[in-house]
Amino acid sequence: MEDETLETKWGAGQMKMVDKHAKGELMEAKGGRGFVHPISLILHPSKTYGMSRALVDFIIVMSVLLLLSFLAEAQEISKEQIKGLDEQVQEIKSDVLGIAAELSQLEEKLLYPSNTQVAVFVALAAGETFRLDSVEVQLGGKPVAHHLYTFKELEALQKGGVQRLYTGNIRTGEHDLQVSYAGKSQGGADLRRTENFKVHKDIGPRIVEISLAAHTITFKDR
Amino acid sequence: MAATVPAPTATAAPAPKSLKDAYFGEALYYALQGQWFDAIARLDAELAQHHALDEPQLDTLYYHINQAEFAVGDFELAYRMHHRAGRAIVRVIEGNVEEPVRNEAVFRLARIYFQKDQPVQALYAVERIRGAVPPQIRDDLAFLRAQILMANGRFVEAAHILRELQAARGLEGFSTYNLGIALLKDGKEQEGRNFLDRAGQIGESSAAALAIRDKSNLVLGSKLLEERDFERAKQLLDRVRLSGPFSNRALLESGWADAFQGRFERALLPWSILVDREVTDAAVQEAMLAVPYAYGKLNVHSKAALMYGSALEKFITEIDKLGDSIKSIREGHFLRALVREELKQDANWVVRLRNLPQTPETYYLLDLMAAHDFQESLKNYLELEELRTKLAAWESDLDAFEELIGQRRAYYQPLLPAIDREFRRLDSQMRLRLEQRDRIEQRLEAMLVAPRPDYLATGAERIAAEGIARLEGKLAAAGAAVPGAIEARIRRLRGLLHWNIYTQYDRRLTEAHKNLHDLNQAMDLLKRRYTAFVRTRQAATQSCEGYDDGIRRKRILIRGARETITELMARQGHMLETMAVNELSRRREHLEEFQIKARFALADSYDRATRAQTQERVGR
Repeated sequence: MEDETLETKWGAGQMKMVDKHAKGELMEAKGGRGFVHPISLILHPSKTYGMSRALVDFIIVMSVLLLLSFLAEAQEISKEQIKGLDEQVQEIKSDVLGIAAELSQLEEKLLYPSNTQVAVFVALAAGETFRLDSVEVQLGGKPVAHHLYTFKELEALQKGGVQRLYTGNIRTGEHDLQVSYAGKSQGGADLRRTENFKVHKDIGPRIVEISLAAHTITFKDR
Repeated sequence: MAATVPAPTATAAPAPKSLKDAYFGEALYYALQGQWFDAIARLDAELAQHHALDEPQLDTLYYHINQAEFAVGDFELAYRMHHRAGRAIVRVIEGNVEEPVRNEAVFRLARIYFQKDQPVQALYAVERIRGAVPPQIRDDLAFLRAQILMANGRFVEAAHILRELQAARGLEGFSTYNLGIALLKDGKEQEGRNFLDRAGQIGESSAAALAIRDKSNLVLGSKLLEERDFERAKQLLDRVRLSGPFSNRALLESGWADAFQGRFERALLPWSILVDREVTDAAVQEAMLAVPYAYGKLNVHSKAALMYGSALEKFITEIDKLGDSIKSIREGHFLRALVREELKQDANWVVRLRNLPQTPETYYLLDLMAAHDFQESLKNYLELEELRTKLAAWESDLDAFEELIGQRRAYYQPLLPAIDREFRRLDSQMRLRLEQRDRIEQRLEAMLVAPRPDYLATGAERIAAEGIARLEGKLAAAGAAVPGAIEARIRRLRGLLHWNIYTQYDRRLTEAHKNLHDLNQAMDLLKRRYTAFVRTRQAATQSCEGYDDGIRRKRILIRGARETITELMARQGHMLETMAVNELSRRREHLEEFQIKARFALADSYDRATRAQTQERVGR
């Protein structure tokens, strides 16, 4: 009986297909026919090969004790528990998104009021495949933004994403904007380009959209 | 039997060909990097602003509004906010949209239900699709429909759809594998096997296609092995790549396919490859017993004994390692390792996690980490940690805002009373001047109808006229008769003045209009400066007043959210730890069984080897 218990445990530890193998083992052990999982034969504890019966009993008892101790400490986690917690996580995400929205409104009002706000967005021209390494923006002759691109950021730009590179404050009136970029062409040649643009700031927030291509930089403001 | 396999799906909505709204583009920029929180936050803000407009058709988002509504649902889905994503999509469905847009929305809703293991609702949703479907989702919709039907046990209909999808691009292998499974479930055993066999031979080279090819071969190979068709099982198992995720299992079973036929030398080939692999893998551990078993069967008992001994040592080491891992998890090392910053930079972080010091537990958790429940719980934990970091940063942002507001207040408060006084003085002067200008304008307009040359007399002329009038007054007051010569001179002077005023009237009127025009320009400048001053003055007040309540409220919200997150992280962390401990305990139990068996087998092999040597000696 003990022998059979061990056999079954061994079988249960195998991959799914072994469920049937385990039955085969028993068939083999009892009737000498059917499908046999060979490794179980070498481990058949009825063949103690010189080990004392007491030692075998000890090993079996220890195995059972270990199994029982495992069962005692294992806490099964139900699908409902996982689902319930997941729903609470979804709720807190929603709450935090709400806080983020309020904070971004506060930040905009406090730091970038609409009468002085200017935002500079950068995109890659459609179909551009050159590798953009860095972009620098100068406003009124002063550097205000410099960005080095990671692979992920570059990929996002190439897929049509638009990066807000700079948000700041300027007076109403006309301002010089200078944009420079550095990169590499597909052939590996260095690419560097600088272009200037006049930003006309009036009462409302001003958005400048910059489109980078291998040989041109185009500007659009609204 | 393996369940259905979903085809790989796109994670972020593609950008429109001609992007007109930079803020929508910004949300896509974050989404394309997998930064879902930032993507949702930005797109939510943009959509809220758009919907609050009186004339949304003038907004640049108007051109992308349908795509943006979908995108926010997609981002929420990717951020695993299924409830919100579902609500966003239902809004699209219930809105006044065209049939293809509505059908695409229903498709997305059905996908959410399916992913959330709600096949009945998914089926209900997908059955609402009627009429035109956008061409780009046609195959994906059919594939989803088939998966949903399979999940609802309707294998005949699923198989019918999957048959139609055999040539669909992007679904190569997936449609064939699922068709095989659907047919098997429908009882069409041979046909199902044929499709699994076909999926196991697809020529695609993408990682996903290769993985499904391996899976098909392993599933079918295992099935044949179960049925004791060893020769064919081996053929299929040997198709599995040696480097793929299913290779260990395939090598193990390939060895058994030989061993079951008594071909132990051949069985040693895959097992010997396997036995040198990562010792924590269950298949490798089984191979560590299988190899000496094969040597035993080949009557090489001494080698078998040595290898059993080596396996036993390794099992003991691994059991100790598992014990250490369970202890380490209970001490919180596992959770601390999971949130290490450097791991987030690496897409292959689960593998890198194994190499970190103080995280021995992760050696045995790769299988567990691949399980859906664990993955979802782990993502929740990591996202909660991300939110916790954000909230902490925001709280210090609020401190900075308060300091900024305090500094602004300290700067403006002493200045503003004097500025306001000066402004009031200038304001009254300005109003006076504006009234004067208005009067002049009214007069000039009246003079166009009823000319009044006297209004346009110069200053000198007015003084002269007043001098003449004064002289006349004096003469009249004297009472004496005015000499004729003087009277004539006075009349002449008055006549001269009159002549000049009347003859120059037209020119003077033109000049007056010109001057009024110049005055208007000066007044416009004045008004602009006035408006700019008023705005700046308002901005000065707005930059430091009216924030206290808002900031206090946000602090309360942040504090509440932080408390909730701390509690949820503790619960989610405990759940992860429990899952990990359960998995490690299961593996330890398994190894302990192996250990017992290795001990018996070791003793047996020594016994046999000794007997063989004795017999050899006796024979000699």
